[in-house]
Amino acid sequence: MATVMVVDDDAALRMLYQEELSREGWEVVLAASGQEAIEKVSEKRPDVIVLDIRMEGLDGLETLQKIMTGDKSIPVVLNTAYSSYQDDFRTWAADAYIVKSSDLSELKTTIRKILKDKKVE
Amino acid sequence: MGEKPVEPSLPKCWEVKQCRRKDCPLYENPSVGCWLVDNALCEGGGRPFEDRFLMICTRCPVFLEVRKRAQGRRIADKAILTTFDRMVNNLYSYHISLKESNRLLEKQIATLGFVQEVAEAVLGSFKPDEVLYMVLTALTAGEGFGFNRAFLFLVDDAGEMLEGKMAVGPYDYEEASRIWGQLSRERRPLEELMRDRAGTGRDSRINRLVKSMRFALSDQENVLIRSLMENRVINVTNALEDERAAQVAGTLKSDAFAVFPLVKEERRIGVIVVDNFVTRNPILTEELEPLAAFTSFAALAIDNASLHDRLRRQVLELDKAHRRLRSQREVIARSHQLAEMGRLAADLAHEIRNPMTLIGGFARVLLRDLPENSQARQRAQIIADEVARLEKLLSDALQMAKEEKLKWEMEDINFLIVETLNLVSSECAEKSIRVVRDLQDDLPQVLVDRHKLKEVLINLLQNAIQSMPEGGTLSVSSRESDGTLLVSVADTGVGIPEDEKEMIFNPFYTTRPGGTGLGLPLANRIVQQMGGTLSVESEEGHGSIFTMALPLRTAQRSESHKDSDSYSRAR
Repeated sequence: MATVMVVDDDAALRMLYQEELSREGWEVVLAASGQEAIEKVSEKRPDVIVLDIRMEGLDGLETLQKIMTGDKSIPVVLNTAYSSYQDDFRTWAADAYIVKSSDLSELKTTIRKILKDKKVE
Repeated sequence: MGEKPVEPSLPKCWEVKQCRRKDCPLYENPSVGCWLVDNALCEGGGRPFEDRFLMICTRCPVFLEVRKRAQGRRIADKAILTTFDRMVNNLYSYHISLKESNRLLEKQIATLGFVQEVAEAVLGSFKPDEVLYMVLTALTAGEGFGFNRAFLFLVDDAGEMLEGKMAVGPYDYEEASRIWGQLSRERRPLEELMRDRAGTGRDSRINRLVKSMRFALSDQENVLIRSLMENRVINVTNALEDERAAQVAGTLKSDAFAVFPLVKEERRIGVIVVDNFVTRNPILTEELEPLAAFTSFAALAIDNASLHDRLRRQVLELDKAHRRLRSQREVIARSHQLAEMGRLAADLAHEIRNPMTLIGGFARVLLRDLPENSQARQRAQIIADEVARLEKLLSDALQMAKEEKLKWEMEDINFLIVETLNLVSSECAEKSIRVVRDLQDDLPQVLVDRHKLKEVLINLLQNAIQSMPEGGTLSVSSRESDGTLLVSVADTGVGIPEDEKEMIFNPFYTTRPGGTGLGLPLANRIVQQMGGTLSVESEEGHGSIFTMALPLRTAQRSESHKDSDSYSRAR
């Protein structure tokens, strides 16, 4: 079973993502902060990380950087309410950038594609 | 007894001239010579004696008769008569030359008067063209120096060339005979002459001719340059014999002309050339001196006017620059305000998007869990739809407000189409919409902004889906035609009424409940940004076809954009 880690400081959103993504048959690991995410990465070895950008404490980009220094192979999907950074996600070495939306189908499609590519590799 | 000589009686003037003027004091009174009578009524009788005698009476048949009768009478008489005759003749030619001198003097006085008038007018004008024209008018007008033509050449701003600027007079003999009236010697006020300027015109042939003439100041062989450099008047009396004058003479079609330098305090301004091209009157050396005085005055006036004009233009330019600066400052202030507002709006959008994701997301969770046809499910549906609409409005509005540069990349357009179609495939399945793809296999890669193009496609696809609430067929095609890439999205939906077709690309224009009215305008703007066009064909009740036409761009452009990409990565 593929493991998807969701990092977001909004508890209600974590709840929504947990419910929606587990329906897809993925094991969902939640982290409420960047710090928690870094700790859980080595323990849970997720197949993909869905990462919010603006968070209290360690923000998404700092978290991304720390994860990258540990394990470069884990794909990261940036998931944020800001649409204005969309053009820069590749510069930050993330794999995808999805603007938050009540319709999670784009996020799911993206995760599905990443998982598929990973298995192919 | 010697014969008493018969006194030669005076001939009777009324008989000789067959005059019947009985009121004339001479009538039937031959005691006195008629030329001595002040108030005789014959031709010129009222003139002073000298005039009357020299001009008329010496040629009058009465006087000639007297002279004839006196001849041969006595030797002494004959000698006296011969002396008298010569005296009369001398007196007469002296009188004629006096009259000529007088006429010349009067003309010079008139010329001086006119030139003074011109001088005053010239000093009062700061318009360079007007000053130049007045100077040339003074040279050519009958009441002025009366030359047939006058040409003005000025040194250019760079101080390298002498350029023809303006001319007054006829272009050729034909024109001369047509405008002969203008060359006539009648006295006309300066104002009237200035009014004629419209007739002379900047585009008159003579003006075009002089404007075609340019000489390098380094060409010391040229007669005009020589006059200017040596600051002296040159009177070319026979250009055919003067090699250095041949070029100018040939262009002006004039074999005799005079060149006057315009020099003010060592500053070389230009030259004036005058000729008598029509009348062929020679230009006399004694004419040159007063002319030289006038042309040095003209140099002063032309220099003043051009200085004044330059100053005026500089003031105008300064004023313009000042105004431009002020308006730029306003634009900058305004764009700062707008940028600040944009930042605020983006922050606000972020704050709104999080709760919307939650509200809509959970509404969708409920939608799945609630039993079909239940009231609760219908309500959840409304919440989900409304949130989706708000989210779309938010992202469209943010896009509309954003002026951003395109990021060009070489893309496989078919791949983009398939990728975008995948995003809407589940929605199509739900709404019983059949999807048909007709993509040309061998399409070349095209230079586009991937994200922007995807946005356009999503907008077109959603537009099509929403137009088919009862299901239908969604066809997407791609093909190349004449260097243009054509992508069409067709539906079998409600179609667009004819009178609304023009408005669908206007922001906030929507006929669909739940539409934001920003999707199509945004798509249109993006396509235009990429150098393409977006068009629509539609039939009400049968469906619409939206076609995007994009130019197939070369890879060269792609390279330059890759450079800017690597720059942004390095950042």
